[in-house]
Amino acid sequence: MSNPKLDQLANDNRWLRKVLLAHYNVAGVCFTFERMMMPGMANMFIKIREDLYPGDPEKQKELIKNHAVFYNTQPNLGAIVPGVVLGLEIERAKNNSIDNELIQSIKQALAGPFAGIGDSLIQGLLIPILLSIGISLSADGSPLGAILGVAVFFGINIPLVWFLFKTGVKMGISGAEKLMDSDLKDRAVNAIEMLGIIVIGAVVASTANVQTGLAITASGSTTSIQSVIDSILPGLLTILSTVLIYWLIKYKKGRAMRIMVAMFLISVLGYFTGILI
Amino acid sequence: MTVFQALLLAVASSIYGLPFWRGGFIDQFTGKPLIVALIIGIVMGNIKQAMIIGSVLQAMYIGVIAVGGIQSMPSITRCIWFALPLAIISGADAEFAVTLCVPFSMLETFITQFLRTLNTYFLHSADRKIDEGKFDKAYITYYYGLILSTAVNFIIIFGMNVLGSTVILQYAELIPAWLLGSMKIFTKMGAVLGFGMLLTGLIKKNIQFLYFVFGFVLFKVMGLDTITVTIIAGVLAYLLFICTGTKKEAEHV
Repeated sequence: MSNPKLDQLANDNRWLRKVLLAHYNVAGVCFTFERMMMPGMANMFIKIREDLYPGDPEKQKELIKNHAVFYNTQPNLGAIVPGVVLGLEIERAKNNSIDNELIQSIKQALAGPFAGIGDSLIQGLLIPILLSIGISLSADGSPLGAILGVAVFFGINIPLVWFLFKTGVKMGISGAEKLMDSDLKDRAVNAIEMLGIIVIGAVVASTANVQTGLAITASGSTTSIQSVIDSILPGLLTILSTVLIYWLIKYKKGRAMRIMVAMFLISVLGYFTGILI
Repeated sequence: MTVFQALLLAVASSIYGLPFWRGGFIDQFTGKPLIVALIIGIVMGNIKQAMIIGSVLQAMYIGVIAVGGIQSMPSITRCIWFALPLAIISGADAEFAVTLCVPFSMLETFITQFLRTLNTYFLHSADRKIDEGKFDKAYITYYYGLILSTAVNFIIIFGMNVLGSTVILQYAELIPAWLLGSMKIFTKMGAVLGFGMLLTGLIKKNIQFLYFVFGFVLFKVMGLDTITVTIIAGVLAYLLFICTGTKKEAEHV
């Protein structure tokens, strides 16, 4: 059961633009720690539900609910993710060949690494470079730095996001067949997940820093415990903190808000006792 | 500062925060102090001074990135909308703007996270509407989050601008040092939460945590930057892909 209308839509730039905007116009308006950018994903399908499942409100509801789950990635490079998801859902609407589990796991597997890579490339590299140039141009009062920065950023990112999104859609559609070969799918998803986890390790190392201020005084000389830890493995406390958060969320039903409040209280405690600095 | 100017600034910040800029691929740049400084300069009718101060502020805060939803250091995204105008009016410099910001930037995280918690109500309300099949109503419900935060920002920016720098500085004295100090510690831990959450979706077998440690160590101990780590990770991922011939093998790594 194929759907020529869907094939046509997938190649219609106006339709694709509408879907892309449906995603990004909503992705950040209701950000929560529970599900982060998920409204963008859900809204994407709210807007095109009639195209995918015409006249079938039950299937439409299922589609939208499937995507009302946690989603977070870096918005620029991560534009490929809604593209791939769209492509996969189009294929699914055509002949119900892919199941939802697969689409969700691909979504997560892609969102993770692109969050890490995107954050380091866009937030960590492109933006600071443009800003630095902007600062030097505007330091004496000229608006040029800001104007140029915005022009370059838009100039790079609007085509980039559009390209990534469209590529994602194509990949989703053509990849869907390859992905039905479950060996290939599992191997590929597995490999991408590993890449994501490694990159996330580096990003956390670059932005977070959990340190202790405790020190031991023995016979006149003070040794800081942090320096001891650093000689074993620098950043060990940061790693352990990440493991702790992971464990709390995965095994102890930790909720993001509660963990945040706890983290703040621990910060206060740390400040007063010097346990954390 | 005249009430009219304060109003104008509040309106400008609200327009600047419209959906197209949010969570989209644009606001990670347009929200930066350097760019906001230009807008403030236009509204205040003093682009030159705004850019001079804005450049200094940007240089100070260039390290702010939001990783996994939490910012890596206290940021001035909100407070620049009153700190910079008040600095311009007082004929002061960037340091003055920072002094106005410092007590507030710690509140900034609270406000953001508090608003996000409120967003959860909207989120669940939208869930219910989806269940009832009222999809378009759900779409509108998501926007309540934006309306809420825009309203809050409007009040803050208008209010702070009207209060003026003397009042703000008086109250700044009251903010305890321990609150500031604690927030510093808290923001240093921020990425751990955001990415910890992401990892729970990504890691299937706990042994895979070793990959995390690997990436971490590459950066921290070996001193490689994230792009290099990405390239290494990419090569390893490819090797993994070709070495695991079947699904069964893939499950064991």
